[in-house]
Amino acid sequence: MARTITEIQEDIIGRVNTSATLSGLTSTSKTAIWRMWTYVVAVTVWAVENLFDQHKAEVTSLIDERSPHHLRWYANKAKDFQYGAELVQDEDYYDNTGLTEEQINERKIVAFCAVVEQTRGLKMKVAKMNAVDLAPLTATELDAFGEYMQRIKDAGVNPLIVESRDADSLKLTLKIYYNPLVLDKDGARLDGTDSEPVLTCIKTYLRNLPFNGVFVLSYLVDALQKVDGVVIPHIVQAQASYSDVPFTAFDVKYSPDAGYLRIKTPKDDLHIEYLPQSVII
Amino acid sequence: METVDIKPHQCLLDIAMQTKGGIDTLFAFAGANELSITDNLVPGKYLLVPDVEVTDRRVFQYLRDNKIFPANAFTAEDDAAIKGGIGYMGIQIDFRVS
Repeated sequence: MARTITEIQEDIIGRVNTSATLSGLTSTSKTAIWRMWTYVVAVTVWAVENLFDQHKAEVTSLIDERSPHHLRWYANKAKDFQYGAELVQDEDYYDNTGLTEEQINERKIVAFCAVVEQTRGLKMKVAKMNAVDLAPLTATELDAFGEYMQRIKDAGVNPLIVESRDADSLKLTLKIYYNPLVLDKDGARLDGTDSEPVLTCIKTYLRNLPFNGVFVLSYLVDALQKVDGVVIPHIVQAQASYSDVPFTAFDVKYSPDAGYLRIKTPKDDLHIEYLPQSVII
Repeated sequence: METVDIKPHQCLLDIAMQTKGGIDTLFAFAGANELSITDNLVPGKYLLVPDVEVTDRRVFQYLRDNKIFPANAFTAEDDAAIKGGIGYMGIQIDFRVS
């Protein structure tokens, strides 16, 4: 973004003042020759900066018009969606004049998006952030988002499926061999700092998985291994379910349909058997 | 859109100064009229005035109240006319070679 003439001139004068070679330029008169020169130079620099801005805008628009859209474009556009705002006519962007950065960010509700190519068309999975965790868009939000994507999508991308689902459910049965010097028989820390370190670890792991990332059981084991007091984490069974589909067991990995998965009710979905085990060297 | 007449020897900077009080609007003028900032203007024609704020109201008011039309366009011909002499003459313009 080009600076104003005044900004550039002040910058030049600032540099003149700090230069030992130019210490003779002391006149404060607005029409002192040296000040006039700084103005002349400032105007030239300002012109060049503006020309570069225009050049950049021109090249960007050429690229925008000509480059074919890839999946990343769809994902980026999804994140640019502003809830409750109208697009500039016949364009794929919003007119944000007069809005602060904060106001714009408030309108942007899509926090995560994954675009999957299908035999026919594209499927977009999106999720928003509520206070701490991922959440699906409400029906109204999803309608608005769907309309936005329909308007800006490439011709021929048919169908463009837009969905935002509640997290997939995960059910785990674990055997945790624990160090009795650190944890008790219910898995709570003896020093009282954490009553469920294993559950905390699983939750954090699931939360940190990339959106639409694959959930790999052995990676979870690696994470559990790092919990203080856990000697051997063993996953006996893992099951997952999405929408109304019943729980299905999986062995190695699971790709969540909604893009993310959670243990919804730890009381029912997480069965942990704690077995004392002294540290294995 | 508002327009402004071009007086002899006016350049885009003069027009910006005359109608908006500062040269900061130079690029807006160039954009509105699809001109380069250094293009020579044709006296008698008019330019579209872009819809931007007056940048320096004092200068703008002063120029208007005193009916001053800045005109600083200085062409190569002007230069030659003032200075004259053989160094400023052009072959086939000021003299012919036969």
